[in-house]
Amino acid sequence: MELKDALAAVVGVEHVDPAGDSHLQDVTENPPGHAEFVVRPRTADEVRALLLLAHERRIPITPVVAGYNVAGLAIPRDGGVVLDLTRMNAIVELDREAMYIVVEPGVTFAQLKAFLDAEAPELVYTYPFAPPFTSVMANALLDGLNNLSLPHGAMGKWINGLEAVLADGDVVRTGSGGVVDRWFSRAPVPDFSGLFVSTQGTTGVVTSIALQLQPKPPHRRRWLAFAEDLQSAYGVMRALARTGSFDDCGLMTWPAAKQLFGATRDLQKTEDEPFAYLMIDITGASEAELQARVELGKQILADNGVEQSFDADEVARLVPALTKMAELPTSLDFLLDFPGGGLTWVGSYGPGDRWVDGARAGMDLLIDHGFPPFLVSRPMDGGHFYVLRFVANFDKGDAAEVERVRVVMGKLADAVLQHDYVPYKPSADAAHRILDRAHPGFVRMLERVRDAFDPDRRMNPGRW
Amino acid sequence: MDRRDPFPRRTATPGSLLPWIAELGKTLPGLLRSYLPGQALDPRTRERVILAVTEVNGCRYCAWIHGSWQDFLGENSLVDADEALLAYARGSAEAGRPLDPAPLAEVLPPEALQSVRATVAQIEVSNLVGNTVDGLLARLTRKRPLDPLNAVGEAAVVAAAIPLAIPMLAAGAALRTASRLAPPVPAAQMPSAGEANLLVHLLAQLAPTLLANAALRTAVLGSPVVLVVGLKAGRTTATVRAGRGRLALENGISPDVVMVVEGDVEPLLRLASGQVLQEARNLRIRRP
Repeated sequence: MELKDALAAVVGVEHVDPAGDSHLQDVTENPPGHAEFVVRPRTADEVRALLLLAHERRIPITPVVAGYNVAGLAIPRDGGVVLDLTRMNAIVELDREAMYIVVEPGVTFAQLKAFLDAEAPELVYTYPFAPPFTSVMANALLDGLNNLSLPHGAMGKWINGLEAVLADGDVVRTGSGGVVDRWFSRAPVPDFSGLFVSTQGTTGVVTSIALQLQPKPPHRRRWLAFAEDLQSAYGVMRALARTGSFDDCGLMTWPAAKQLFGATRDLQKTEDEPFAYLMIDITGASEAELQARVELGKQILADNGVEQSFDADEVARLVPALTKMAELPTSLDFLLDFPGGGLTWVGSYGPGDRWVDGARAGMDLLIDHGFPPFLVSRPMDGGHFYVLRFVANFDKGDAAEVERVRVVMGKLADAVLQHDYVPYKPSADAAHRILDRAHPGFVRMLERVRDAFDPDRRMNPGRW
Repeated sequence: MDRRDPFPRRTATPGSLLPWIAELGKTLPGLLRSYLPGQALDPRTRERVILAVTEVNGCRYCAWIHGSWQDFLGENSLVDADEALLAYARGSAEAGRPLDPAPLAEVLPPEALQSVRATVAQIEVSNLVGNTVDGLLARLTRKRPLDPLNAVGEAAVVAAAIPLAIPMLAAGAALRTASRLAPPVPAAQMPSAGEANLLVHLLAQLAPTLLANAALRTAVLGSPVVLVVGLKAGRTTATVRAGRGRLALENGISPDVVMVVEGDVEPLLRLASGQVLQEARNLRIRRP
């Protein structure tokens, strides 16, 4: 049977199409890929049938949901079939007592927020500055950073367990849900969930995932504060993180503000402008708790020379350009609608004591290659580690600029590694640079896992 | 024969007025405070409360006067008229008596609560009187039964209200005229987006709100002389040139500014909420 007919026999002919541009490229500098078909399954059983088919015919499989990972991770590199999981968008289970939710790959942040607001308003998930139509599951499996990552860590840590289909069609489960019918924790069984975290689809296709929810404190305040240099910005982030009293402290350097107000090219910082902007979220179970944290926060800002802070919600209501910052999830249009449509970054996690030097090195690289020094950061997991993410918008139609951005992203990946930072959601290029520096034991372990799960290297080929 | 009164709105009678007069008696200081500088209830919120009550009662005179007032003050996205507050106002109007204010006490400080209660009572009385005018007109034009006894009572109410109503209608006309004559807020001339500093960008976006008030807009933009003022918010500086219908913003403090207004960013932003007098205390003005 022809491949198209075999695929259609599983999902229906209307859900099989020749692979088009929207599935062969993304917003990054990574070159377009190639694939024969895009297939859109609706159920885990269909995924299993498709992977069995691919296994029999040795067909490469590239899974994708929204495709906004900003690292080219869902561009098919070895032909075969793109497995578009957007139709699998069911919220499978909500457990308000154990505070978790089970979702399919196509569930979006907007969908999840609307669901929780209606069905469990006392609980909250955590949201990135990613468009509302992007996948909750993909964000978790790629170990991204969200607005509650300061107290609760990177997104892989929020996973309580999952169900996945392996390359040979075997259906597996991890976490407590692998033993009993509740997904309350990854403990106390052997922790296999990590085999699917940051492996970028090379170990299997996850068809449902259990994710932690958190209590939603009734009292909240959000500040926007100005830092004048890297040292004071780090001082604030470090001190806020180590109290355990704050929900978030997200940092963006000055180019972000310029772009937010509509600038695209020739960004210039005046001498008297702030160097960085800190979004600080404070919550409390009571007004008294909130006030105590507000006072603590004021003291920390003052101790670190941050003189300016004000109510971000009020500013967001007043200044149209900032309105979209008021509530997550949101689309940062200034990143997505840049003329020429190019967006890329190197994001990394690493230790606080190298943050200032790493930030400076990365921003210098951006400037040297003709890009504004756009840095995003936040303390993670109570301050155990920090983010260094260097962002560049570019014109995808300008070949010279695409080459320039490709070069600087490679250098940035090297620079963060030199400062003990490790890229998260690494592009294929960054993954190679990681493995070049990795301990031989780490590389062997990765190879053994891949040999066990995907000996033909058909699962999202080109990654790691 | 159907003897029901075809006039659909409530009018001023001893029974309808009594609960509101009593409420006004209890909250009169709050009413006075709501029209004085430093008011607990900002003017835009006060007008929204008034229009919420008026919408329920259907008084066209009050709607015209206070609609004029609201236009004069201008829209302001910072004024977050609490839904609970508007619900209290509407609920009281629908009930024909002041509702228990306890739920509002949870979200408003005591002074603001007293001002809200007084404002609702005052506009309720005004609505009833305004409706009485229309009720009397309906009798005189035979759109409802003449009913001489009630007509005399309504005429007495109207006569008593005239000394207050005429100045209010005149004020409404003046406010409406001022709003129409005020120049529109032009798009600010400023450096390119990449070059403009944060304060310039903020001011450009705040301009429609800062200049929402028709009198302020007329004074600033309609001035025959271009006023050049420096602003310093935190460390960041900007120069504003306003007058002759134009608004221009520049990075830094220009040498020709007549004064420099200094302060943290927050007071500057709160100025846009209409709290000019309160926030002016947090700003410093110096010579360049």
